[in-house]
Amino acid sequence: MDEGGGENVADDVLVRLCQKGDKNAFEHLVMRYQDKIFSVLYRVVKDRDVVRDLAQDVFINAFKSIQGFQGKSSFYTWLYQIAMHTGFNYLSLARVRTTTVYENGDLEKKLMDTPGGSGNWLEEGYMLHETAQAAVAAIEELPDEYKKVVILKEYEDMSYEEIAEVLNIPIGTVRSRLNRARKELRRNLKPLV
Amino acid sequence: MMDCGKMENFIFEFIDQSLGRRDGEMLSVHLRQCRDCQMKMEDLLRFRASIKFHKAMEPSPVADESFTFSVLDRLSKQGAFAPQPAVAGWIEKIHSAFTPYRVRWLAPAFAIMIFLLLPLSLFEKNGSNQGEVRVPSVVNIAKQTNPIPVQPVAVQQKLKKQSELDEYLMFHAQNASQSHIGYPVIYASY
Repeated sequence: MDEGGGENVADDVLVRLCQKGDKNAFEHLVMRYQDKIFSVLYRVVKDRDVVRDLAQDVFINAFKSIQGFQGKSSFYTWLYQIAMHTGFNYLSLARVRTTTVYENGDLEKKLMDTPGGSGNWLEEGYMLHETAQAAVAAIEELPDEYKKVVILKEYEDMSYEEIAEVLNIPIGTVRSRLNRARKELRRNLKPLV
Repeated sequence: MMDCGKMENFIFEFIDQSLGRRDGEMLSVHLRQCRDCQMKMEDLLRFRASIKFHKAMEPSPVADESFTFSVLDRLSKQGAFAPQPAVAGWIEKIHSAFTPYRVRWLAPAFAIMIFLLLPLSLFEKNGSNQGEVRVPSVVNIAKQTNPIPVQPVAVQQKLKKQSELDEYLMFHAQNASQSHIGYPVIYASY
């Protein structure tokens, strides 16, 4: 692919070309967003082996349905929408339980076993690692609608508006889901933090 | 004391960097007085830090070089793209042959080709065109290495005669050895 050819072309221009069946335009869009799609899919399914296949499905489905894209949202959030749907659909169909270190009920016990801070950097590093693992496990325990907003907010650094576009819900709903998710996370993580 | 429920929302907005200046000042005043809200704030900040730590320690995979090609190939096989004119199709084939994924194999191949052709890149000067630099062909180089002299017609005729003479002499030498007769006079004239 011509590295410099389409880098500065806006998404909506490339999308219009894709709607006419232009292969090169779609190639540019794939190159532009493939790593972001890999990222969000990985945060959803937590399985490196399936991320590539799912990402392919995302882009193929995107091209097939691009005729219906009317530009009411950005292409970027529209693509994320497909990625989130693909990822969560995979989870529900395959019943994949992601790489959670802790099973239900074990989280609290594991957190209680975590060594306390002693000023030792090694222990602090270990504790930070444990805290991160616990946070990831706690996110996994959330209902899907909360998990989606948390992944998009905490991992993808999206704004409320972008999350609203991706999930096709009002901004107020994004806020309320995020706040409820955080309350629940804090409650689950309380033994650790 | 201000409502902690309202302050909790302010804390969330502060975490998301969407809290206004005035609300931020209200939150700041409240946090100085409320230990519970301080703990909420600390917990959420710690949670966010742990997620950042997790992102750094366990980065998500990235697309490899062949990913784009795979996607386009699958779509092409399904006939998803618009058909292209014949010329455009050839241009597309040439273009796709030079994708970064494939070009990386071309570089060493090109280097090997240069290495093999380097000894042949000698320049010669044509005698009739002094100063004109000509790139010799493989045939020219072979001629230079093993020059085949071009014989004039008279010499060729002489050589033909010489071969006939050699046959004649060989015949008489054999007869002479058998009959003990000396070489004929013609040998002396040669």
